[in-house]
Amino acid sequence: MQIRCSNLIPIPMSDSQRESDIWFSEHVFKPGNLYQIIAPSGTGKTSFVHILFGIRKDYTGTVFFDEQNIADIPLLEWSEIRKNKLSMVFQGLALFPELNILENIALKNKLTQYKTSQQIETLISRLGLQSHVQKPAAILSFGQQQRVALIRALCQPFACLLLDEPFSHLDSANASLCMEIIEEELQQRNAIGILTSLENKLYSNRQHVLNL
Amino acid sequence: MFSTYKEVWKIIKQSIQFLQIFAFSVSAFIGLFVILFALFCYVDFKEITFRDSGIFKDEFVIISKKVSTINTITQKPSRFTSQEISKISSQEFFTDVAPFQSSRFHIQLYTQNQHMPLRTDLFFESVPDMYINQDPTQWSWNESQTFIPIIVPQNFLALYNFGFAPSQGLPQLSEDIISKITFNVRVSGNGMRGEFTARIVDFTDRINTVLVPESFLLWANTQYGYEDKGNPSRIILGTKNIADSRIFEYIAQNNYQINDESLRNSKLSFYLKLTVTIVAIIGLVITLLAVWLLIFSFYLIIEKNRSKIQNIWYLGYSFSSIMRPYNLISIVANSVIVIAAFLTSYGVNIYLITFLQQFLPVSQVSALIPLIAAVCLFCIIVFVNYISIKRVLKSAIS
Repeated sequence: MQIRCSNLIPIPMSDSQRESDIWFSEHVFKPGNLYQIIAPSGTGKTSFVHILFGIRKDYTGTVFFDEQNIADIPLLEWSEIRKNKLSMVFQGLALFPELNILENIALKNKLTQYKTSQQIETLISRLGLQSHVQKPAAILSFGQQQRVALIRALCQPFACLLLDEPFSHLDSANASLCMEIIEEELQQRNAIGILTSLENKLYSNRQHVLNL
Repeated sequence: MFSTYKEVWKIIKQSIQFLQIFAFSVSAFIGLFVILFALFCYVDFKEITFRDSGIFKDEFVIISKKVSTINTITQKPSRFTSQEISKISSQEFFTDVAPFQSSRFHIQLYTQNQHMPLRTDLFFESVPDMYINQDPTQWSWNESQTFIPIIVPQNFLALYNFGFAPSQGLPQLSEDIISKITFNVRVSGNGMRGEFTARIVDFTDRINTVLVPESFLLWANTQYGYEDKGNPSRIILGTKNIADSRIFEYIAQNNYQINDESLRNSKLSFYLKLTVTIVAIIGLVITLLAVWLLIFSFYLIIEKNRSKIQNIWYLGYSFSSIMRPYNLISIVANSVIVIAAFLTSYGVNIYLITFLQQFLPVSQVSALIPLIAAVCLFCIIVFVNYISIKRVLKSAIS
């Protein structure tokens, strides 16, 4: 799947008239590529990924998944897309605080049956969470929660992975570890990766940089 | 699919207010119990009120015009004109309109029994046979027959037994015995005479006249009758629903007189229907409030859970799998309530009937109508809940 944005702008930002790599321009995200959107706060990074994820509808311009205008997708069909085509790590993570790490991950994996418990365990230990698996998400640090949210997002087939400031609370060692895993998984699926960040800091040497 | 459902259930369960669901259950139970019990009572009492007038079709009224002093002075009897009759037949609440036939000849009834010598002038009237629930072989007459079956008002017998018989030193008679006495009937008129025999085949308190089969009266009127002046003084009106208030309104507006006696049961059934309807409406209001409470509970639960529901939705769970736990709660709670309300009202009804059996000839009635009502109510409540859960959930995820 490829994603094409055409003349896109969220309605609350439409008076700014500031052209960027995405706003008010044409851009195509191609399969197998990783894109890092670097921009300061308030320039619409989260709005952009939410538009792609089908949560925000207050925009002008169009977004196409291949030839399909996403504005034409009926509300109830989005669940199928989010199960099979689009995965997302939210800035706020959207974990369930009362569930432990395994349960949070299982909530996704039981739906998709995508990864074996062996594969999940491997990911958990690679990201250094093995001693916390029985703890409810509520008592984990935000950085630990970010890693849980990442693992959960990987437990499904997707053509595009959206990551909204996924490393904001991680040190660079953990961030590069996560990036390594992300790149492996993108490669496996030949999927698009779209990652947003505040700082002008590159997490990989293969990504395309876009500014908002 | 069940396992995915279990995960969703676990998250949703935490914010369900079981106290609210319980409050709903109790109020819905009370409401449904009142409705179903009212229905049971309606079925019971319908059975009781219509039982004692078995010889007639249930639903009819007899009307006449009021007799005023002017009628007496002018000697002009108050009769229905044909225009009036056709106007009455055009009313949609009357299914059938038929005039009373009256005898237009001289009738004398007498016995040849020594123990009970009796001789009296009499009159006959008749109504169409369809109003009389008599065995057609008994309630019929043809020209080859000299026997005439008669139905007389119950109070004729009472007048005889408690007024006439004691004063004349005559024996009192039971319904059973008088039905076995054969009377002689002498008719004359038009220069002709005829002799018949007659027997009382039944008593009534609904039509205040001496009834004979219509076929006899039509024939006898042509044989012995004076000229037909037409225009009956009483008419009988068939109706689907005697308790239809439009009937009473119409009759009052046109200044007709209703045979009050005939309406005793109808009035009773009218008031019963009214009472039962009011009780059922109260039950319905309680049920509606309870259903509203449940809808409101779900609304609160969903609103409180909004972000969790959104998160589940964003994970890719289908709308129907998110909705399922709520619908399940609604179906389980409502089934328990409806079944409990039905069984309780059925039990109370059995108790009531057993109690009434001490003084009334009643039997246990079929529970079919209340059962159908219970099933319908269940479906309606679950459906209304389904619609409202769907609406609120949809707004939560969009």
